[in-house]
Amino acid sequence: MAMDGTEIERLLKQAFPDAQIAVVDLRGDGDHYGARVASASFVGKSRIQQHKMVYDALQGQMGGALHALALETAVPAQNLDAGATGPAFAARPQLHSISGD
Amino acid sequence: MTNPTAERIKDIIASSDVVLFMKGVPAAPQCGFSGAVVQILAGLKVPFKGVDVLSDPQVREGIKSFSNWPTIPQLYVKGEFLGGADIVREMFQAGELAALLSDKGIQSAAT
Repeated sequence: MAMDGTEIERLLKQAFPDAQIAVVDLRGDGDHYGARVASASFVGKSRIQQHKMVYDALQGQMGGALHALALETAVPAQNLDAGATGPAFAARPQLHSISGD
Repeated sequence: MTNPTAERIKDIIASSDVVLFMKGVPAAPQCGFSGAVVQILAGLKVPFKGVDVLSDPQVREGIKSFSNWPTIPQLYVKGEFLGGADIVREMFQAGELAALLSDKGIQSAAT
């Protein structure tokens, strides 16, 4: 079962109104996506907490309709002084085209 | 009331310093995400126990509620949930994974 990329983006925008969001269909099959989300709401959160926030935003689709999502979360550069972990969004390398099964 | 699957998962996680819940076995991963974590651990020469969730439906579902994490693979170090494939890769690339293993006294190529 596949999921539309615009639907992923809509759910993410709904949960993180301030975020810079990029959703890429890695294989063009509507089943393997990559997403980058940079939001000030990640400030002070661990990577696990950040990823969980994104999974929560997807409202249970992750692991269900959404089969594979290579996820990268970050704090926007202007919020980095606020005690964030991890490098700035702009400094991140390109998403890896990693595949699910 | 105890949940037998959760108890079993606890025992599995306690059975080795580094435990990877994955699809397939380390020599033959059945999923690219699982394979990526296996490669990282192998590259660091970290001994780990691979648990094939495809051969154990109870663990496959149980591990997701155990960690409140919706996907496989899941990596545990000394009983602590570290993350899925993306987090493990980010930590590896930042050198944080090797540092964490060394902090926990686990032998790897970096130590």
